[in-house]
Amino acid sequence: MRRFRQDETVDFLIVGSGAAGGVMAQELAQAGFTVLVLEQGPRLEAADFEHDEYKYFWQSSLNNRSDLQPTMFRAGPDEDFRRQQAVVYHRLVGGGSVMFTSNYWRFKPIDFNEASAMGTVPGTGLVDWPITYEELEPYYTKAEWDLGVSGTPGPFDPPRSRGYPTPPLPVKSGGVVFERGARALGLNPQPAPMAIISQAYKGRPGCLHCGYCSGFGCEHRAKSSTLFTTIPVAEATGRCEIRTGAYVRKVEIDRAGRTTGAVYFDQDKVERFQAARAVVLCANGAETPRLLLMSKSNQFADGLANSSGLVGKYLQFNGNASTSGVFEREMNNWKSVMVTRMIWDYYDTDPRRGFYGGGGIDSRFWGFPLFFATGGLPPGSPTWGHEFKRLLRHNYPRSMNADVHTTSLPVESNRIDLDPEGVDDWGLPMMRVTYKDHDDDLAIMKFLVDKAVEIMDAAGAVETWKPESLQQFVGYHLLGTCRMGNDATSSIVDKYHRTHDVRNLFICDGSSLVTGGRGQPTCTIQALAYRASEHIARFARRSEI
Amino acid sequence: MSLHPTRRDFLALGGASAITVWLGTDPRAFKRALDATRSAAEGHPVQFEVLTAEQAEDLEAIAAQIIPSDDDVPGAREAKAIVFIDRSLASFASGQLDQILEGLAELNGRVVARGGEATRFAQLRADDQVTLLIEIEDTPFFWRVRSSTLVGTFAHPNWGGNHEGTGYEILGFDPRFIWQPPFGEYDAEVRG
Repeated sequence: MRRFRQDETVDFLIVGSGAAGGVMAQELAQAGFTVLVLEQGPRLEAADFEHDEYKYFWQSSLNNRSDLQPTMFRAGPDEDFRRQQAVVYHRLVGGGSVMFTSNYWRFKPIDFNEASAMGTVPGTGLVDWPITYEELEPYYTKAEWDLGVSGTPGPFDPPRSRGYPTPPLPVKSGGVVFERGARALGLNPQPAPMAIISQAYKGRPGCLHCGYCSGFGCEHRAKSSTLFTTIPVAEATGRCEIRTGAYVRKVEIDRAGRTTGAVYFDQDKVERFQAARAVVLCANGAETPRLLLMSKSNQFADGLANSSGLVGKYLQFNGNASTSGVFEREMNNWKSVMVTRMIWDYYDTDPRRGFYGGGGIDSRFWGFPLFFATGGLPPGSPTWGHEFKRLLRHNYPRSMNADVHTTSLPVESNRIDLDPEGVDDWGLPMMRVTYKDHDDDLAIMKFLVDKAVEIMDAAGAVETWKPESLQQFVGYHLLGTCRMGNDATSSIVDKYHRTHDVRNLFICDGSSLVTGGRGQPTCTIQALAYRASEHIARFARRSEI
Repeated sequence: MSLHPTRRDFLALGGASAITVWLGTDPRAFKRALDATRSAAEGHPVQFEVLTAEQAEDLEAIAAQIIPSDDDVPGAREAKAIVFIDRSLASFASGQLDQILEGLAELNGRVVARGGEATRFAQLRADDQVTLLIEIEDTPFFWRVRSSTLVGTFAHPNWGGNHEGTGYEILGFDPRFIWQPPFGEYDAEVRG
């Protein structure tokens, strides 16, 4: 791997090495440019990942920690802020692409023009994207084939120019009963597209079904994270360095209004400056707007690239809820990948339902032992003693979940901004999060939660249950906060991910999304990264940066 | 609120009991706790760090009622959940120590108030232990011990409990981590 001198000016400085940053690094380095990636977290190799849920979930050893990087939260603009962890993202080379469940859904054409096709929703910022599905389709294909995805086209798939590089992962028992129940209701279940390869692909082995995907790194390298795919390719060019332990606090601007690089804290909390000819922010939909807001200057008094005043606004978490079922016979859903079957029958907004929104339902199992012991039994179950233990033992191999993943309307008051007083462990302003699900978001979640339970009941579940509350107060999908658009007064970046305000500053991550799709954004974030890097490289070659 | 923790409500569900308790800690303390508990798990004599032998015995007796041992299936006692409890109270959960010891003293006060020969919880007959725990099962003390017992039983053996995979055995979880289909009865049926 290339090591740049501290005083060396690189062509591109990328902030964040996750789903988008890892792709951007490969594409720009392969295009012949020098690339330095600054990553907050450490670099782990496959052998470093453990099956230790307490370490990763309870201790937050690889995500933002609420003691070091605290956040303030309020459930809507009328409430007071309180200190609470409101966003979760992963801090390591590869970022969320290392730790995510690996659902890899494309968006569909309607996701890009829903406002004009279906009509706007009063009081929201639902608008069309500046690009179409057709424009992005080649990059979806590129992402799937470059990274490695398993699946097979289903009845509601968007048009695709090519199939999947590896076949679907083997169905689990939860997938079998889900499929049975869905078909009994006249629905159309299909294998879930997953960014986990089902057989050897591009030098990596197929999945060995350890069962530790969601929230864990893959010790077999079968999960197609940027850590195991694009980042090694980027480094092999000899033009890319991944610098870890680097926490960026400010994007610097010169008198001409061009970025000159970024100031960051190194792993010893020593402040350093890295010069670059252009900067690309891929820091996720929460940290990217926070960094812009922290990068105030005389020229950009309200934060960098924020002439519209919209940096941090239109935050979307996607809707998510988990329903549960217990079946008669043993399913052992704790084995293998989280998800093997899903439905997209309710993907589109249906005006007859009386509200905006749609989504999908998948069969899965939150079956890590401590997870199950602390929350896997039905409501009202004993919480200790012989019957508690008997139920744990009986239900564990017979349980499954059906999770729903839905739209979030872009609402301007849902936002990321800076706390005026509190600071994090580096002395930087704490992130504040304001988030309240729109009534239509809650309505589509409830609609699909009821459908999920119906599916399990139709499949012969002995017992099913669903969550009592659907309102969300912590976000894992961090979307929409620096949205794309053609109009500089209503968006942050243009259709090529260049900020409207700073010619050599680009943004590509979850913040770029105009709408959040139906709950699985990673595939689209990465397709955007492939597309954006192609355009950015073209601009650079033509000296148009 | 659902009893089932999705990723999204995990932080809130566990927020009070888990995140705020476990996160505000020094990583070096985790390392010390890990080293100590690994030593215990490897069969070296257990040296309690903060608990007296009697306190450990009483807390272990509570843990053993939360996840009891049966004739054929072990429980929290065999999982050595007490090792995790002691080490965590000595390190990253030291802020809970006073509450635990005060709760234990209060519980033992109830034991004495019952009359009889027993002066500590561990000395009671099993059915009397259950009766007493029913009295306090809604207290923060009980829920804290319950939470620690579950972690000490079902968390990765790295943390000192779940001795020899006892927690896995209770659930029927096999930690071999490499599988091939069929995984369960329903998918076996489909595959023929």
